[in-house]
Amino acid sequence: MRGNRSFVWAVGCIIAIFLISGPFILPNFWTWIIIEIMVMSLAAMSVNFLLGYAGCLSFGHSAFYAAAAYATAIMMTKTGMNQYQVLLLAPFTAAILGAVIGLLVSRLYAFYYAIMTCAFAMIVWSIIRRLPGLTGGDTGIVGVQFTGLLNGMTNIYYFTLAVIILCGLILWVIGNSPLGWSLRAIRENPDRSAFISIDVIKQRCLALVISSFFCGVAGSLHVVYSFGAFPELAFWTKSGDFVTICILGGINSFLGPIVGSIALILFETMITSVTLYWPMVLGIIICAVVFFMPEGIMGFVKKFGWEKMNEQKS
Amino acid sequence: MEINASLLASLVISGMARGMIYFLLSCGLTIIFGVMGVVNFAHGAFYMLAFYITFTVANVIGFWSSLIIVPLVMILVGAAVERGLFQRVYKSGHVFQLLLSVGIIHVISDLVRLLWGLDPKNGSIPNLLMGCFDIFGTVISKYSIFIIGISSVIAVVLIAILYKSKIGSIIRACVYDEEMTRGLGINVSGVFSLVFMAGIGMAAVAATIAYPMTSGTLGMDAQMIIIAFCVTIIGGVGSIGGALVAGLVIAVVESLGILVLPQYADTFIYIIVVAVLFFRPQGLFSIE
Amino acid sequence: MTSSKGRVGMFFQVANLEKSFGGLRATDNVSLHIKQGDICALIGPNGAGKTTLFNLITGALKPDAGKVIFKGEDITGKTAREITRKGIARSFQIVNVFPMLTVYENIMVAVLSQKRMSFNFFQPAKKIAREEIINHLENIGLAAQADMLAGQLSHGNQKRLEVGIALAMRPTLLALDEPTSGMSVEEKGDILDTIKKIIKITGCTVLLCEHDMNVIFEVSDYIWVLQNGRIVANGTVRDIKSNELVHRIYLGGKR
Repeated sequence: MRGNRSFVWAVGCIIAIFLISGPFILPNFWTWIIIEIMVMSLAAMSVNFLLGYAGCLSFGHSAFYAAAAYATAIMMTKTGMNQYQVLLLAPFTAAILGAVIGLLVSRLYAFYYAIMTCAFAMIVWSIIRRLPGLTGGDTGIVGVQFTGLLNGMTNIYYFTLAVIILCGLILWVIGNSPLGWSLRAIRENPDRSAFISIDVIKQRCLALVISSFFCGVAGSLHVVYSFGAFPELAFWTKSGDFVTICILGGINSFLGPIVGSIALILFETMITSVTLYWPMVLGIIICAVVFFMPEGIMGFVKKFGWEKMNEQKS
Repeated sequence: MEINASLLASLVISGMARGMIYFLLSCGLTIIFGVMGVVNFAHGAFYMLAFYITFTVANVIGFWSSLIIVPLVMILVGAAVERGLFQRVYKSGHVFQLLLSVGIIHVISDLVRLLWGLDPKNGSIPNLLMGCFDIFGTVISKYSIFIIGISSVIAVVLIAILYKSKIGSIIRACVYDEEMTRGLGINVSGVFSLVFMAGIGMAAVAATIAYPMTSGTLGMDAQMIIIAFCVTIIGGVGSIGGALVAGLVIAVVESLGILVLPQYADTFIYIIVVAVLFFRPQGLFSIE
Repeated sequence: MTSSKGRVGMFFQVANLEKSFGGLRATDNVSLHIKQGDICALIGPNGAGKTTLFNLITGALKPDAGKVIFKGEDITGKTAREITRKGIARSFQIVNVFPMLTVYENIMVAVLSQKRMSFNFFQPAKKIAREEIINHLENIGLAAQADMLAGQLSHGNQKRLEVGIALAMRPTLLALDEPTSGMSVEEKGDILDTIKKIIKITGCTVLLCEHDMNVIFEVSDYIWVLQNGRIVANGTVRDIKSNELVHRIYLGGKR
């Protein structure tokens, strides 16, 4: 048992060292990839908060991601606001959208919840495309440059890392708070929850607002590292990617989305260098995960860990 | 453009024709969900696949043969998908069923991209059905009549099978109480396969009929699945009559909406879904 | 029908309650009352409408007509959540716990809700009210199983947990829906002792819905008898034991 703990700590330290020194030892391309992984993990963590804790499956998070991304891009290009102010405010756009959607969607049963959130994402997508004056229409907004501390791959890397760690900690704290636990109760048994005086609808709504906020943070970060915002960010398949990452990583694990994001993006990077037909491979991966690894990678690791420990005992 | 009665009538008729296509597409989705409780988010992708296969068959052999060949091919595809893939997730809950559908969507839509490329595929109306009727100043295309006619026949046949035949009552029994039906010794999993195949077949017929008058692009699976869900939810899960009415209503509203707000036509559909889900998630004709 | 003496300060009262499902009258002009501190039982043969009445009282269903009054306040038609907040907590006949949470966590979420902390998002939940939760676990006899997943408990223990979750809400009226159903004679005895002990400790009033007459006669202070959705008899244990109609309902003839 103790052997296991030191093992985990050792692995953790190696990962930490790697993360901290990343930009100095890796070529720019891979630094960029890690930034992308980090941003996607945050978006996936926000989806996992909603799915793993509250039990609500949302296919609409692309709307929050895109809303914050566009808010960032628009504020950076059209107003003279300070870039830090912009990054601080943009996620609230997503949260407000989350509140609106939450009021409409929170009493729906799981499947209808998924469909309505999906429809919302598509509404946002089609509206974005139709306001060229504001959003650049189909082309989106490009050439958003950040300056100073946010300029340059290395700076962006550390900034993103800091934000992700901060958001991860906040989500961890919320997850272990009374709110987090009553969300779990709602996931397990929404009917019984009402009988212990939990306001199921309000709590689900709050979970969505929290989730959409952090998804919005990821959306703002997106603009920082890719210098623009595009309508495709709102298309429902982006939400599908977040959900896929969660399931791939394991929905019952806090680190699941991070692991899933690493796995998926690394895979994508490898496959797209060989073929154009990444979506097909993605589809096959999704089917494989559903059939063979519904617990995700972390679920597999945990089971493997249990078996190893039991082996050691006997 | 001058808006008068005959223009409206034209729009309504062409809307009805489109509505029939929505009906055929959605009736597959609604029976699959109603009978099996399975969420087939990939339904739109099957429609798209059928559409593109129709493009090839129509150009190689001819439109009329495609009406027979394409549904048959798609039924086989549906059988393979149901047996090989969906069967494994019946017990896994909606999350995994949805996710599986997403996976299937990715595979099918990229397959379409691989085999047929990015450019839109346009169909043309077969010679026999080209042209229009002029009835009291209202212009009605012959092809619209053809669509309405053939879809009505299919609708009647479906309802007859479901309510008057033995297999229909078995299917309805599965909807009401799967356990009991299994307990009666009926091969429920066979019934599920049959229903799934029929559902995909319907979507294929919809695509084949739609081919001459629409153009196929790579985004059509997303569009069609939202429409199909809209129709299913408004018409009520499991109700064929409901799908028919809902399909017609939605299409006609869409046609008229284009007059009023042409740019926002597709946003409209999504807004309708949200509104219906908010006010009446069971739909209007649900048997649940 | 004998009427109960001492109707002063009606603790809990149901007046002319009606509920129909389609053509079926599940609850037909039901009136009853509960004295504070009593263990009040609701009995009747299968199909008598006990569960429907329970559901109406605890907010799972809305009545078509009639009133439900608790401590002087009209709670007719209020939601389950509101009614629980007012002090009526209920356990379920068919086990309805939180299966993937541990026993400790099951009680914990109820306690946290009782303390109105469900929206608190910054304190570590597992450090709050530990003593109270462990106390509850000891009261229902599940302290040893605190770290087991609720779904993996034996049936008898799950029913204990059922009662425990309701108790964690510190109710003034505890509504138990067939707490001994599905149990062996031994288990029944155990859980009855537990319930009696709990009542002594907490002093709550109990509305007990049961099928097993022995259980009823052993614990009840007052009994209401339901048949076909109507109250047909009420009284103390002695009254009911000697009531001919009740005998007929339970021992002879079909309903």
